[in-house]
Amino acid sequence: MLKKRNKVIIGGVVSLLLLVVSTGQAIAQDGYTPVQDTALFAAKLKKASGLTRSISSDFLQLKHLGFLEEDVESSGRFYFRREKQLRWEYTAPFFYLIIFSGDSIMIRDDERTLTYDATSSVMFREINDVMLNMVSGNILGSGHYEWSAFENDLNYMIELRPLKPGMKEFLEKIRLFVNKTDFSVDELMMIEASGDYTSIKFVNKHLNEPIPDHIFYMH
Amino acid sequence: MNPSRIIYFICISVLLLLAGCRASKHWHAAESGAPVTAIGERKAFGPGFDKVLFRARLSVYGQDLNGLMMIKAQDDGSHKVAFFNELGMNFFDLILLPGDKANHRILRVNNIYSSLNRKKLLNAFEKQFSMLLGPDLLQSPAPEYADDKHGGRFLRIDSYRGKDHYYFEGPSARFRMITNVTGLCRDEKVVIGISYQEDEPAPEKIWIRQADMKMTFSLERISRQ
Repeated sequence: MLKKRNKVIIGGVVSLLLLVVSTGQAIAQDGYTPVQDTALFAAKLKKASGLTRSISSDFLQLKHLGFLEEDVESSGRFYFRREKQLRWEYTAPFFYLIIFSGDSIMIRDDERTLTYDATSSVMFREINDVMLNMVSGNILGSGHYEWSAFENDLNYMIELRPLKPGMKEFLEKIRLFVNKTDFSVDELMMIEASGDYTSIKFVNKHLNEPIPDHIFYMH
Repeated sequence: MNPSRIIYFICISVLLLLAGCRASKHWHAAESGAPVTAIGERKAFGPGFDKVLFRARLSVYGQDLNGLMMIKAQDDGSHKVAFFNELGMNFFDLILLPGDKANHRILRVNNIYSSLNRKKLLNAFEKQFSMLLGPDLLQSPAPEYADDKHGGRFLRIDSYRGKDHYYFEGPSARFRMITNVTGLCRDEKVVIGISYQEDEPAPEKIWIRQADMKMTFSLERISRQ
């Protein structure tokens, strides 16, 4: 009886060790190691982000459907301007526009301006909040996530785990890949509980260039 | 009142009800006697169908859900369906397995957004996809009729729920409309319109309306196979 119990304990310890080792290997494979001084990192991020007044960028989105073993790609243009203005303009595979301006959300496709969608808005608002908090430097202090930070030569990787129950249903975690040179977001990765994920890569970024008002209005 | 009078009035009421229902039926047809040929060639998702990406709009329970829907055929005869919004968040992942009743696919849920996880809605999806991916006949042939009202012809299939009508226009034409009629008055419970382009195995556009749930579902293809 005692031997059997010891076997179970030993098996559990071995499993735990394997888990720790495999997790460490996964991070190491990407070249990421944990940030040692997280408080210093958070302060640097907040300071650098505070200097960002606007961002315009192209984006490439990839949705991985594990259930279907398929990927779906889309792309478009992204704009941010302080304080609370975001524009996501999808141009491929079809036109689709989302504008966040203050607390309002406007959505349009090539046929109509869509009515406010409470279901989608939960997701849109969360992504909106992530981006706004990120560029304003408040992401780590928002209280909406548990976070941990890693780094390699080029990027910091911030892993955020939502604390709000409504958001947990959609997202298990968010990974932000932050450029070490200017602290701008290179990639936003949303990972769902099912294992599906959406990666949004920001390319051709322009920081702190003027963006006209009409970009954030629906005409 | 005399019991015989009560029975008389009940009978008259039933006859009037039936007459009203007959007058409201949506098709007038006569059996053609022509043999059924190449049902597989007429299907909305024709031979050689592998996968397709649609732009999708679903309106139900006062919600408008917009995004992309991928439908993918599996080697075992089942189909997987994923619906997600533009930013990539999943509304549902479903699998439709071949059933053991006429024109029936069995729906299994892999993952679904909680506000859509309602039995009535899942039953509606199961019926609509069974119709779209069908007809699946356990015993052929299905009777073929001439459609006096709209022109063309249609197949009439006793499905696991009501009767499914598959409309087509010519000897080699694909199904352009599918309806499900149920109940004493043969109400159209589900209406599906389909359009095609060239020889693609998957439809170009699909419109689904289920009046009793105030549900509409539209799909527009954005990928070629």
